[in-house]
Amino acid sequence: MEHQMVHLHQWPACRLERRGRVYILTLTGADDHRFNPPSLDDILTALKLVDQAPDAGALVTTNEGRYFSNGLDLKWIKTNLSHSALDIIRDKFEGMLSFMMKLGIPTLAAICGHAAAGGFMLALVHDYRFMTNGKGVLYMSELDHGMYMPRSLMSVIKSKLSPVSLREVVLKARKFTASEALEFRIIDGVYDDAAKTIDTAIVEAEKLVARGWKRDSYANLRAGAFPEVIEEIEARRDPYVWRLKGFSVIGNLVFKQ
Amino acid sequence: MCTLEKRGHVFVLTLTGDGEHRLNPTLIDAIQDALRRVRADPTPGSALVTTAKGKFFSNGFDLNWAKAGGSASQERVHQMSSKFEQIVADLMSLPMPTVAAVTGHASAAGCMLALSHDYVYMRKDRGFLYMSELDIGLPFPDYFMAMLRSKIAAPRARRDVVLRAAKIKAEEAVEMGIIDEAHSSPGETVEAAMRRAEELAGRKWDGEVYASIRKATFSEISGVLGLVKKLDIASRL
Repeated sequence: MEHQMVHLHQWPACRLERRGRVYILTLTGADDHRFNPPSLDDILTALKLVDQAPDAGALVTTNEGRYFSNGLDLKWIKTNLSHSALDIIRDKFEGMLSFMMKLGIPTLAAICGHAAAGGFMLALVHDYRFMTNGKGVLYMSELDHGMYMPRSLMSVIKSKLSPVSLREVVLKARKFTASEALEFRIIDGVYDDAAKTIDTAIVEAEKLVARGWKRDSYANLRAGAFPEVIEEIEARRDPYVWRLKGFSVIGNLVFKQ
Repeated sequence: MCTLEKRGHVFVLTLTGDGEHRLNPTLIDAIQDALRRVRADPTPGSALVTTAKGKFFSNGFDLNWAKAGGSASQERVHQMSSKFEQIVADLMSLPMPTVAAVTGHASAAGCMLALSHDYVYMRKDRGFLYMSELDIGLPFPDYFMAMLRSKIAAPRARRDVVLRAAKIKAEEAVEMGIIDEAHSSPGETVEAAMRRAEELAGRKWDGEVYASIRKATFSEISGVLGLVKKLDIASRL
């Protein structure tokens, strides 16, 4: 039985819909869906709504336009360095990642465009990944941008990648097309266009919903299968560090060179 | 319940009868007894093959027996889980190579039994590996999860086994890196397992060294089972 898509809420950064018991979170707009405090607040509000909805059986996260997400909003960070920008954005970004890891329902990412750095991490934190064939790439850009990888974020990456893929992703900052990502087992399927990618994700989600799993069981098993990720995120053992031209940023301190 | 025989250099432990080989205290005790006899044999250069008769390798704990306990049903599940943990510990510390010839369905604790072996061969014509806990709404004992993390390294494979409660047939299991080989029939599976076991036994490895290396290789599950002593290396000098 095909359910109708029900529109639930629209925020500036995202939209929440529901098809049967599958909730669909779409990062909206034609831009590159960067993560800054306003957009992260919107996303987290949507996620909390899903978590609190008693009928929610699965979550599909997807995007409009050519970008899933290009990660943290570096412009916002540079502008707000003197105002604890990194603390604020880190709270919200890592809060989103650990919220996703704790969600008691299956999560599926329908990646219909580029997913880089923080955007790639958001995709990785989902249980299943489907991607559109085409120009979009998965790219962990930190190495290219002189950013250190804190243990909180490395734990997310390591949990979902095999040793060979890990080297290619993190130590080569390789740009993976959808087919390559499939070959390296980073994603579960490749589809011809965005509509097919999203539809497949929803159909898979419906199959998982039909299994009737209990939320606490599911969350507990995810934490068991991918241990220490939530703990490492919440432990915050390393500051965010950037080596940029002329200066370094370590946590909230800026060092001129 | 189960038989133990030696063919050449290979011990063969067989779960007998056509039933589901449910791991109730009686069967678990029988297996533990057989493993004790394996250890007691001083002949170096041996190996173990574990297999089963009928349609099932093992369908896991005897939940009917647990339910029959009424108010004590939780306690009965706990009892089976504790006893079975001993089997897993025995297998993970057995001083010889071990091969599981999975000749039928292996679910939950039955799947754990297979994965507790160094090599897993399985028939491809019928039967599947299946961690059913999510479907039944039961939690995993800690040592189950530690075993899965130790033996199923690939994230997507682990996700499919644990978070999708997938029923995985032999050929898919080989592709996912969960088992070693898929064979056309139960007879061929056992034969291939025996050949492997003979080959491994022929390497004439020191059993204690083998066990020590196995524990170091799968350090997480070994730790959870209490098998790792800090002075392991020093005590051999």
